[in-house]
Amino acid sequence: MDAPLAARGCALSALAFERVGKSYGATEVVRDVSLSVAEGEFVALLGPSGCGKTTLLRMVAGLVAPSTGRVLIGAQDVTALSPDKRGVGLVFQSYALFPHLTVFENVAFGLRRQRVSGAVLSERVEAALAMVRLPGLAARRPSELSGGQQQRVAIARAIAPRPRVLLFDEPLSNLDAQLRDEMQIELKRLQRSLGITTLFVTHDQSEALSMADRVCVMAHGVVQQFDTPEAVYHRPATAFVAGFIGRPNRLAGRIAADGRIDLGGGVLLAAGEAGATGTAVEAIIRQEAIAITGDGDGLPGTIVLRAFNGARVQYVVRLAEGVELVAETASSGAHSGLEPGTPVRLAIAPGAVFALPVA
Amino acid sequence: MTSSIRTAAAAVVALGLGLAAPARADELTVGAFGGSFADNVKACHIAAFEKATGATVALKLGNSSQFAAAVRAGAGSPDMDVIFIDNSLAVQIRNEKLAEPLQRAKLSHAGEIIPNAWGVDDSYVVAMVSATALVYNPKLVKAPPTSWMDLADPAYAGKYAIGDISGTSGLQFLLALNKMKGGTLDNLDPGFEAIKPLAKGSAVLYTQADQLLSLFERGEIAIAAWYPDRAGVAMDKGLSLAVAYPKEGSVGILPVVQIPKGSKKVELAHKFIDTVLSADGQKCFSERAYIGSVNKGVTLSDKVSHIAPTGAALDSMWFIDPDVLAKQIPGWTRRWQREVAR
Amino acid sequence: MKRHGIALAGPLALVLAVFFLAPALLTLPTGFREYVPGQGITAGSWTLDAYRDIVSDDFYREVLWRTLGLGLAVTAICLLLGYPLAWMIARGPAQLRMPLLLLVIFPMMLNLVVRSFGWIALLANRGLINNLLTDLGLIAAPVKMMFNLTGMLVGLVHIYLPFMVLMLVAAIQNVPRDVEAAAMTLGSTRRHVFLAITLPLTAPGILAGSILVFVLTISALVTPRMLGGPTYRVMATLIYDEYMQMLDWPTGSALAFVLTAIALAIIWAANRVARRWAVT
Repeated sequence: MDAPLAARGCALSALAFERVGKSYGATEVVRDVSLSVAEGEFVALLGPSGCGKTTLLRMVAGLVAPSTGRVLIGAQDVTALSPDKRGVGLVFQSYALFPHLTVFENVAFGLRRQRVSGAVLSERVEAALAMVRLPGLAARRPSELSGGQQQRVAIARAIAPRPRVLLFDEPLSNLDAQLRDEMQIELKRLQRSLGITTLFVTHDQSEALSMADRVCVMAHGVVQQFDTPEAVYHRPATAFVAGFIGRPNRLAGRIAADGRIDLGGGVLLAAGEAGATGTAVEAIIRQEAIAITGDGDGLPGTIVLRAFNGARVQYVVRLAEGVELVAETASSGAHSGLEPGTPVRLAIAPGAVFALPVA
Repeated sequence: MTSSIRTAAAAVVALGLGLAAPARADELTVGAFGGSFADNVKACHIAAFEKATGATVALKLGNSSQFAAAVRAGAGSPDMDVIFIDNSLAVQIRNEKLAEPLQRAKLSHAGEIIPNAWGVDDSYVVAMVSATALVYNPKLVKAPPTSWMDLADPAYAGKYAIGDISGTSGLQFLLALNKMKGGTLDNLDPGFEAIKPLAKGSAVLYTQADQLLSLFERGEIAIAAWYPDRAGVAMDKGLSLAVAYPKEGSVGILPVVQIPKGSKKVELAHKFIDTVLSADGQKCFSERAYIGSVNKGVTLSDKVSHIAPTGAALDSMWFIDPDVLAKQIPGWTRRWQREVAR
Repeated sequence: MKRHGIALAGPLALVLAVFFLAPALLTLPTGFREYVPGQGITAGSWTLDAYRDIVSDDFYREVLWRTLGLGLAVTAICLLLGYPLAWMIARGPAQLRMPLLLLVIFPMMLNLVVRSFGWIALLANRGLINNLLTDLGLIAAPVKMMFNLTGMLVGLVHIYLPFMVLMLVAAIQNVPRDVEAAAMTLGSTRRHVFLAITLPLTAPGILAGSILVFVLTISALVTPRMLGGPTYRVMATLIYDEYMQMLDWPTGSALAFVLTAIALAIIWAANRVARRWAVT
């Protein structure tokens, strides 16, 4: 929320990366990353696979050592600390439950390492299982549970020892869609009630945007933008973020003399930020930022294809020969029933159009 | 049921002996001992036999008890037509009614053979005469040994070897000691008493005769109860060895030839045995193997007769009743395992 | 009915039946026959003499215990040497894996007799090791390393170590790295991760490798004949001698059956333990 302050590292952050880098031979997977996460904050690390987000997460757990820079938990420099002494909870994509132990023993594992025993142990295991809404299965083996239940055990196991930082590595990607939506809300609620600083790695933007207080978008080992979901969505800091977030149309074009983007076929599009005249660019236009109007102002076009997907209707609209884009509208709206062949006009806010220079 | 057991056992034994090529009509399968023995059989007997008959010979290599086991497993349909085998096991095969009696009429050289070479009911005929005697390295042993008990001479402590009872020389040395110490074939107590300390001090209880070659070569042993014929062949190869026949009498070894019952090639088998018994065959084998002949017409060269049992050594030699051996060996072996080699 | 069952069980069962079960069952009746030395097996006889001898004779018992003890010792040594080796192959630096794996597998390609001769050349009284120690002045008289427990252990461990290592490599590779990482983040030191996670998760492999090595060891014949000699007998050499030296097939068969029964009982017991440990 207070991004500039956090980035300066002045506030008492719960978790911080200071100029962290990681290379394997000549391959740099993380480059000069500095991040600061506030106490109790829920931060999502978002990016395509191979962007370095998981590497960053594992550095917090101590499973990967950074090549350069420091990692701090609270005020403590943990860069050289072994994983067992960091007091972090990690929920793996594969869940990584201990297959030879019961659910109870899985959840008790970290507590036993903290020398918790007897009635207190049972109490805290039960509490953790209740927190993930999984009571009554303590005697089972992981192999006897469904995927969703295993997921909950993995979370219970991570939170039971009351870690300083909670880490999630794509924890929902193995669940089916409905369960995933359910778990998103549940996880968020759980994180709120526990108040544990949380780092959540995902490649799913809707997961990141809906759950996190702040989203850190990464690409090629570099932080592209670290801000609130709203800011990341509406005010992408880099062309990469603009192209990665939302459902963008990508069209090839060139900057015209008047600063608009010439998409060819006589189609000219106003952009929020134009480059130098004549520059070859990729125009990025969010589907959801295109409004279909029956008449009046806007770019003229023709419906080519209509796709109904429940809440929304998507149209492929041809603006000129070879210039097509996808627009969408609410399925209950006025322009939800247009047949192919229908002429339409598209209103596009210049602020929703980004021009990416083509290398 | 029994025949299926036998078939299975035959298969197991056949695997142990190495799979033979399928026998052809004019192919005779002969079981012989390995090493130089097989080489000599090829050179002295097989070559002449193949030339005379046009038939071919397939050799199967093994030791006497392996052949006896194979013949028993074959149970009347043996996979060998002629076997070389120790006389005690030949008697065992005969007792198990698995020997084809030899027909002297079919052996042109039968008349040239010393009379006591023939087994009971002509179930086999002795093919050669060897012995268990003392073999020593003259570089390490100054005065030639004269008695079996010279092995116990402290001068040779740890530098002598005797055989395990599973080998002929081990058994015969035990029996020779027993006889020396006043025992009989019905009472081996004195023999076992005498051999225990000797076995303990032996550099090795050898189970394969050729194990001693490297021990002699490296000077690890100076003297052993061993075979003169092996010593002779080793001396040809340059080993420093000499043979001494102990005054108590050496013990005779009589490898025989026998036809397992049920052989489909009895005629051809007789022809092979006739070749083995011929003066030429006997002379050739004796000269190459340093072994005594059973053909009265053979005169050995000086070199061979110096090593092989002849003259006084042959006269004082003890030939043990093979029937007694066949019956007693298992019991003696068990006693040996428990009292000597434990 | 029977034929139908065999057809269903498939080719593997047939191979097992022909090469393992059939010989074992066919030799079983032989153990109840009477053997008369010099005469042979008495046809149609029926006696428990062979089994009675085995039970009453302390020599047979000694050899049986020795065989089982040897099996245990070889298994334990293979496990202790094999686990770190398998670990290096499964988890070690990539450039070490192939050479190590080849080093482990290579001896398996050599003939058993050749390998045993190799050990004889090394372990004999005038073998390489004794000569070296003597030349260095470390020992006055050769150390006896053959025809006793030492030679046997060395030879058998050398032969069966690859089996153990290959089983363990597979087991260790099957342990998910994330599961071990999870334990670390929960406060486990490397030592505790190994004891609490890796070891239990590789237990099925340890058990399978141990059963394999144990059964192979107690049934080994060639190596004990060459390195154990006549003075250090095990069940397999004893059985061989009964069959091939003394021609006493009934006793040999009875001994073989006792050994087979013990081996089967151990496999059965180990499987029960394994099922309790079983992890899916």
